[in-house]
Amino acid sequence: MKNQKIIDWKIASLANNDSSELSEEMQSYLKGNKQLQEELLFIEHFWTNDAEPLVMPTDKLDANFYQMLSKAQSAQQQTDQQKNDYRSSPQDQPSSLIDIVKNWFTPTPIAQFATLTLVFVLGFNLNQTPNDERNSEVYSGLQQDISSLTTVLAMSMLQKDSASERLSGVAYSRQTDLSNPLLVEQLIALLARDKSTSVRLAIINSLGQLTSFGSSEQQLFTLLIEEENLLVQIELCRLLLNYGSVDIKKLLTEQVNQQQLKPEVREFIKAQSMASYI
Amino acid sequence: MFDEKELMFQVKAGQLDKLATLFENNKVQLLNYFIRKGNNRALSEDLVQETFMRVLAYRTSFSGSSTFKSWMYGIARNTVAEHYRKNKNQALNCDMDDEELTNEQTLGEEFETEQQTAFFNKSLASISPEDREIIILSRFQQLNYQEISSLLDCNLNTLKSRMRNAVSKLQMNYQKLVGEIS
Repeated sequence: MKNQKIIDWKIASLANNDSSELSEEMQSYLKGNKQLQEELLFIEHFWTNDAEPLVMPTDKLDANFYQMLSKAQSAQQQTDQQKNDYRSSPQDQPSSLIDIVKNWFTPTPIAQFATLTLVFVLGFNLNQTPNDERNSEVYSGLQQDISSLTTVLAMSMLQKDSASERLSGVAYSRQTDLSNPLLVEQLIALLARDKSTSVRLAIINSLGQLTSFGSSEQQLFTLLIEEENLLVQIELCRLLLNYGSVDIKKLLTEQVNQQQLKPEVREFIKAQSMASYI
Repeated sequence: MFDEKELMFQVKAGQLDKLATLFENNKVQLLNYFIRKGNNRALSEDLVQETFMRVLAYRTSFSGSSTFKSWMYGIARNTVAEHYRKNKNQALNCDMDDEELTNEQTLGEEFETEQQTAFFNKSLASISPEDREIIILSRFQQLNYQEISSLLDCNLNTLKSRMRNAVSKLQMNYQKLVGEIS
C-alpha cells in the first residue's frame, strides 16, 4: 500500500499534479526499500529523459487548415447574408403607409380597379333606356374609356414573367379592338420571342381581329419563314392566308415550290390555296 | 498566455478566426501525439486536420465542463479510433517499430542518451495501447490527472491505479530490453 502511494506521489509530482513533499514516515520507508528506489529512479528517468525533439508540422498542414477555416468563414458569411436578406425581404416587412399608397398608383391595380368600376357603371347605364342623344354620347365615351384602360391592363400583363399572366394579357388585348398600335407592336414582339407556345398561339389568334396588318404584315411573314415551331408556323400561315393582303397571300403561295419551308407547312399552304379556289 | 477555454467559447459564438489561435497553440503537440500513438507523419498530419475540422463542426457541443485540451484530445482519440475502424487492415505502430537497437550504438558514449530514448520508445511501443495512451497523455501531452480522467471518463483513483500499472509494465519491458542488449 505504501509502495503504491509513493509511486503515485512520484508520478504526480513529475507530471506537475502534486507539489507536496513526501512525509517523513514515507521517506524512511523508501530508504529501506531498494526495489522501490529503483522503480522511482526509472520513473524519474523516463519522465525527465530528454525525449526526441518534437516533429514539426509541414506547411501543407497549415495550408490545409487555413483553407478549411476560410471555407467555413465564407459559408458562415453566406448564411448570415441569407438570414439578413430573409429578414429584410419586403414580403416579411409590414408595408408602410407610403408603400401602400404608392402601390395604389401603380398601373395594374389602378387599371383593374378602374375597369371594374367602369364596367359596373356601364352595366348600370345599359340597363337604363338611353333614349336621348346625351345618353348615347356618354355610352360611347365610357366604351372608349374601358377600351383604353383594358389596353393599359393588357400591356401591363404582357410584361409579366409568368406565362399564365401573359396569357391573361393576351385575353385582355382581345377585349380591345387592337386600335392601339403600341399594343399590336408589343404583341408581335412577344410573338417573336416568347418561350411559351400557348402564349404565341394565343397572340396569333388575337391578331386575327385586326382589320389590316399594315406594316406588321411583312414582319409576320419574316417570322413565319424563320419560325422553327411547326404549330406556330402553320398558325401564322393560317393567319396570313385568311386575313393578309393579296400580295402576302401570293408571296406565301410562291413558297410552296421552294425548299425554305418545312414540307408540312408547304402542304398546308397548298391545301389552303386549293380550298380558297373551291 | 491565451485562455483556451475562453477562445473556444468565442469560436462557439461564431468568431471562427479564433480557431486559428487554438490551432497554432496545439498543432505541434497534437501532431506528436498521433505520431507517438504509432501513426506515420503524413497520416498524423491528416489526423490533426481532421481533429480541427471536428472541433469546428462540433463547436456548439463545447460546454466548458473540461479544459479545451481535454475536449480536443477526446476528439483526437475518436478521430484516430474511427480512422482505424474504417481502415482495419492498416497496421499500427509502423514508425515506433522502426527503432533499430544495435550493439554498435552502445559502444560510443555519445549514443548513450539516444540509446536510452530508443529503449524508452521501444518499451512504450510494446505495452498495450490503453496503457500507452495514459502515459502519453500525462508524460508527453502534459495533461493533468483531472483532464485525463475527464477525457477517459474514469475517476481519479482508477486513473492513478491504471497509471501505476502502465508504468510498471513499461519498466518491465525496459529492463527486458536492456537485458537483451547487454
